[in-house]
Amino acid sequence: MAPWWAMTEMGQAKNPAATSYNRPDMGPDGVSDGAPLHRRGLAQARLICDGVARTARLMVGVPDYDAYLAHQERAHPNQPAMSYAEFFRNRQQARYAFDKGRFRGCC
Amino acid sequence: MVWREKLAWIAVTLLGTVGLGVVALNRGEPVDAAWLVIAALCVYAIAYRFYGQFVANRALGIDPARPTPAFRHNDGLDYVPTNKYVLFGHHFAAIAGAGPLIGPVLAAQMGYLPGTLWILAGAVLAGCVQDLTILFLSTRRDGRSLGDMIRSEMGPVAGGIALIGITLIMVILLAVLGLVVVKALAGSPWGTFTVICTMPIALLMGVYTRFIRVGRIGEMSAFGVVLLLAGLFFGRTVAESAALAPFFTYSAEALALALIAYGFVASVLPVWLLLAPRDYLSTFLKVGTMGLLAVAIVIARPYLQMPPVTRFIDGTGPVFAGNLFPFLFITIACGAVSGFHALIASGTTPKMLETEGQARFIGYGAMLTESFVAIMAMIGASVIHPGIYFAMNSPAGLIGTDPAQAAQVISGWGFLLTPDMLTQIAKDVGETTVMSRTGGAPTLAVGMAQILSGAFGGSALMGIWYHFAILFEALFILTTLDAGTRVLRFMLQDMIGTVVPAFRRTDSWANTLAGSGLAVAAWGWFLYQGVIDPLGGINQLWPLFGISNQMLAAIALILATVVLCKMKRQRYVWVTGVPALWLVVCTLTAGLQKLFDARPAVGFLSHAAVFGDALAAGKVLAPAKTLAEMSRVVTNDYVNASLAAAFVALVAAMVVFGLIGIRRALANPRSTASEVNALGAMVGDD
Repeated sequence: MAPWWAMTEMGQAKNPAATSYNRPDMGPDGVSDGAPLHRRGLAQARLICDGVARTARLMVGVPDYDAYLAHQERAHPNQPAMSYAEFFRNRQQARYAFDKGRFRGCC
Repeated sequence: MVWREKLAWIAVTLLGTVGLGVVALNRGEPVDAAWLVIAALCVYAIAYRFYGQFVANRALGIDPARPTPAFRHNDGLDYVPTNKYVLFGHHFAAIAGAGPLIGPVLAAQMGYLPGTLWILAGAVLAGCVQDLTILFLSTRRDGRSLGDMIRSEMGPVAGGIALIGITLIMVILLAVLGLVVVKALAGSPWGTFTVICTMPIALLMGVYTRFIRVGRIGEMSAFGVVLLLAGLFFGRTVAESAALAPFFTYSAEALALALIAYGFVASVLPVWLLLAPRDYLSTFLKVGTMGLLAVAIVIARPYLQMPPVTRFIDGTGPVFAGNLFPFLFITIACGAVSGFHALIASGTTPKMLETEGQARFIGYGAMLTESFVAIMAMIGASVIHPGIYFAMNSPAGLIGTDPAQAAQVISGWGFLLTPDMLTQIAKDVGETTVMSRTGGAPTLAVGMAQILSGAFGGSALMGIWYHFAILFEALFILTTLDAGTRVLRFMLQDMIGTVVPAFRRTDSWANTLAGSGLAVAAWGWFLYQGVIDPLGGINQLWPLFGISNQMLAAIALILATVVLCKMKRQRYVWVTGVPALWLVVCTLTAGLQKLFDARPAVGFLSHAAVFGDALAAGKVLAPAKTLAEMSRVVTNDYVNASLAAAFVALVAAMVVFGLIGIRRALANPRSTASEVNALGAMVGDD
């Protein structure tokens, strides 16, 4: 059973590309069901922290760097990916490149 | 639905009914705020489960299997399929702001009940529906912006009109938010010192994430918050020190000019230096404080001192002028339905949605949360003694500047108040006076300080909590001023650029300086006028802001109605059509009353006539002191009247375009909406 923050909506099953969790190196709850209970608990705690951190980062406009790397590897394997520093600067610039009617945080 | 689920929903309905009954029917004794919270949560749960699902599945015809822009254009940067809880946080942080905190505080002058009912009903039937629908429409159109969608679905003229509307709203919004900060900080060395501290802290954080530890947002924010709290604690020492306090004690006029200068400088600096780090701090502080307030309300369980309904529903209240209809709805604005959310829901969120099936959770759900923030603001304003509430929110022109006189005037209104209570509360929160601190933020801060100190720390910490609340509001308002000035500059450059193409180039320093100067001058003019207005400014500016915000919501809902007809879903046209009609009626009535009402307190033109006649006779009317001030009052009235007239004309024009669009759509037997079809191709685009 996936934890609540990684759970998928009903419709998503129909959409095979929709992987709610963007870390290809982990299963949906980070550890297999056969593992001892304390290891599963630790893995869950780590996942919660990870989820909170990703939410906080996206709140200020920085998306998941791992997801970006995974995408680059999948879609453009021959191009060099941005380093985290470059990625961060790119996203920071994009968040404040205001164009028509793009505006946040007033009410 | 299985029978157990049915039983659970029946229980929720009963609980909500009991809660609403206690809140609405209680007369005389104070009500436990927990009832208000329970009633609100039950209403939200039922609305989300039943009406939200109906709107999403039946009215809009959401198709969870349809590929979203996040998959079609996945680039790992802007278009990224994102976990729905993470995206909910992003979307909520983007829509939440000062609006839902301030509107309900002002609306409390009519008692907590009318405002609460509108916050609940408006959110469930209008606000959430708008956010969900626009998010859905934008998702079906590759994440296009509201302006783009209006242009492609309703024609270029309608698109141009909407853009002018958005520009005017920005001007009023920035002015009114600036005024809120000025009113909170004037003559308050503690508050001013803390807010000034945020600037070097932000600069430090900016340099840290740019050069020292690139992109380490967590570390940077953690030490930013620590420094901020250090500034907050040291602020008390500054305020109590006879040597330091004068350096941080400013008049409202001086603060307004400083804010205008700040807006100009901040908006031409590189974003990483001041805007971004401050944005991070204010976002985390905003979300964190809202959560903390919710916890504190549950722990402290405060009682609502404000009566459910006050005598001011007749339109004679000191906080804002005008009758319950339409001005209560205009005043609450964002907590029930906010046009700005249409800009967010057609911004970054649709580009990250994993499936249309999650649109209800994010669009409808985030707005329910925002509505709950408005309920908390209403609780914050209602836990204060009503006499103190009115002393804080009435302009000095009405209650004077002496506690004894103010207590007498307010007691005369039927809210028993002694001068001691006024001096005591000022002492408790560490200020010299709390009288006529209009604008909502200080009132909310006193309410929050009462609730938070009731839950954590007791009354000894009241001053800290009060200034923490002021800091939290000032921080994200200053961020908004900076970001908003940039947006306004961009829009002005774009508009003037149609006449002078060279002005459009954003890489030119001259253009940036001139554009920022123009933008700051526009909102600065209204801000300064509000500051020197003896009736307090908020009185005039907040209704204009409310009208403009509700106007934008009306425009968004008109667009949604037209598109529903184009999609051949006219059976469900009432889902967006009825809220659109309500908002049109509200904004038109409010706009016309602001223009033509015979009461000088409400109508700009009758106010101008009273002062104009006196001026012609060479008389000086209070609160003006000289003939020059008299003529300034008249000029301001005419400018405000023109703005109200512009809003009325904008709404009327959009209604006409909407009706034309609906007629055309109904005349055509096929679907004419220009959306991306299930195969990923754009159809119906003309």
